[in-house]
Amino acid sequence: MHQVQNENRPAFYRVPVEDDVPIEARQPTVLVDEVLEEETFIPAQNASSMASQYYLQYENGAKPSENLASMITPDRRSFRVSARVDQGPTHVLLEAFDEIRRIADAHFPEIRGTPAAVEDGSALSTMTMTGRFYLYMNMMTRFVGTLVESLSLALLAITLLIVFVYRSLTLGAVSLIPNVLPIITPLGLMGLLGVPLDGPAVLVAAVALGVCVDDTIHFITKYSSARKEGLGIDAALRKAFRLVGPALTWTTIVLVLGFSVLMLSDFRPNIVIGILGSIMIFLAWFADFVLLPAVLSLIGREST
Amino acid sequence: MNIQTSRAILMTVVLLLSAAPSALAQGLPPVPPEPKFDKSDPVKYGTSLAKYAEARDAGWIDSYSKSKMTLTDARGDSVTRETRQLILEGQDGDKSIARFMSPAEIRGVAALTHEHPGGTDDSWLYLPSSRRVRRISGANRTSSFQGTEFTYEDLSSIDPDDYTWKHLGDDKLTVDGKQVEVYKLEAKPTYKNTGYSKLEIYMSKKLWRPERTVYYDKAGRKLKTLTQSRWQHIHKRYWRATVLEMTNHQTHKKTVIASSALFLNMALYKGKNGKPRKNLTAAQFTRQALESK
Repeated sequence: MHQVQNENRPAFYRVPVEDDVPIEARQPTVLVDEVLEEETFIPAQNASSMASQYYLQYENGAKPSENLASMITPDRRSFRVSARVDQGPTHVLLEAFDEIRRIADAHFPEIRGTPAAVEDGSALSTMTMTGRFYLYMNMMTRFVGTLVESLSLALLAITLLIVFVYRSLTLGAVSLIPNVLPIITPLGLMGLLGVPLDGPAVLVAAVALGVCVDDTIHFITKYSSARKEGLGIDAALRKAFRLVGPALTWTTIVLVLGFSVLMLSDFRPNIVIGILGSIMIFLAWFADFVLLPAVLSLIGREST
Repeated sequence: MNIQTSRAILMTVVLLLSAAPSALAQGLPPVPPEPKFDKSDPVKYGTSLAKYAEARDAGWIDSYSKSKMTLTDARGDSVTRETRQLILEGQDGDKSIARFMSPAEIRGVAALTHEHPGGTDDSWLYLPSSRRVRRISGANRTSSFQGTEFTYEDLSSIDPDDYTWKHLGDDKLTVDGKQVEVYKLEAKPTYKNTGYSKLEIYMSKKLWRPERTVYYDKAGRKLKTLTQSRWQHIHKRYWRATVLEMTNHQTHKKTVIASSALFLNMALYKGKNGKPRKNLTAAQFTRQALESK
């Protein structure tokens, strides 16, 4: 609009500024009512009133298809810019959102006031980013962040409980290995390989943790009570294997098979759940059958 | 001449004189007598009704009004603008100026229009922030007037010669709380630069005012309805609606123009000095007149 108003000069392809307002217009002028002979004042003009008047001019004579109602509210106090975003990893998209904020700060600082400042008049305007995708991305960041927090908390609680129930710090410490490893290893590998960590991964980690802890506690319970009966380390381990071994193995096989079926899905999150679930549960079995007894026997030998 | 004849003549003269005493006294043209309408052919009937309505409304010379326009969008959000409008009646087309008074950032914006019935109108727009008068493309009478649901086409006076008329029937409407009998007329624009395929005009039988107009788009679908209400009988001679409501049925947007002051023929009003005011002149409807001093 501004360019057209100025003989279409390219230099005017921009928002009007104070200097664009002719000097005579910068003071209030008198407007006389032709009929009632009353006088009113036209207020001093500035870039803002120029922009308002341009918009009025644009509206005047605009065809229905040309009106900007989808971008600006009737009272012209709110304006919306829509952008399309390609799907991608969360961190890339969050970087894109940050870039938008950077551009706004660099080129349009006036729109970056806080809502509170706009309320009391100290800031001109505020910019809010929204949209289903934007909110989803923000949710995802929080999602994964809390995963780490909650897993740590859960492990801490579980370990403390084991210490408390079996009255043994060593057992508690040892139990961390088969509980933590099956969860951390696959997730760590994903990170190394650059596979995005999102909702399904978080979900599976929580489920698998339950199964791991389950297996571990079964084994430790049998081992612990066998040791209390007076059995030696090897004998206790053998008794534990005999009592819970088959059950542990069968549940692992069943669960792994079950989760594997999900790998046949067309829906990516389900595939992720399938793969991760199978791996974690298998690793849990491995940790309880191989690692745990090994560590227990090593520790046991040292303490005796 | 016998007594009966002279009595008859006397009665007629008295009747004629009493029919329009105020109008004559004030210098307003008298109401033209209703012709006998040929109801046999709906086209002829409709055309004659339209022409008579137009003839009845002629001679107001000039008009001044203060209005509040409320534009409401589909969501119910609205914005209000105050305007002042001056119109000069002309044989070869009316001239009008619309000045915005509020909100403050657009106060002083003025639009001048010279109507050329049967052709394209000339329009100019003055922006106080640039102190410039710009010519606006008059070719697009179908475009919105200042962002309202009224187009330039809607706001210009209806010249019966620009349409093909047909009398569709008679009907009853409720206007200002009263039941009114109306003629239902169909008007099809004959000029090219129109946004409508036809208009349905509900014209009150007794008072010859268009109470309601329904606009149909080029595809024949109902597009807008204009309801005129809160009528005032100015100088007991001309009817003017002080509330005009245009609803767009397709976009669900609405514009209401409510006038708080409406004067016709300035010479019939007294100025501050007690003397009659002067009528508006063509010089007040020029480019130069638009600019504020």
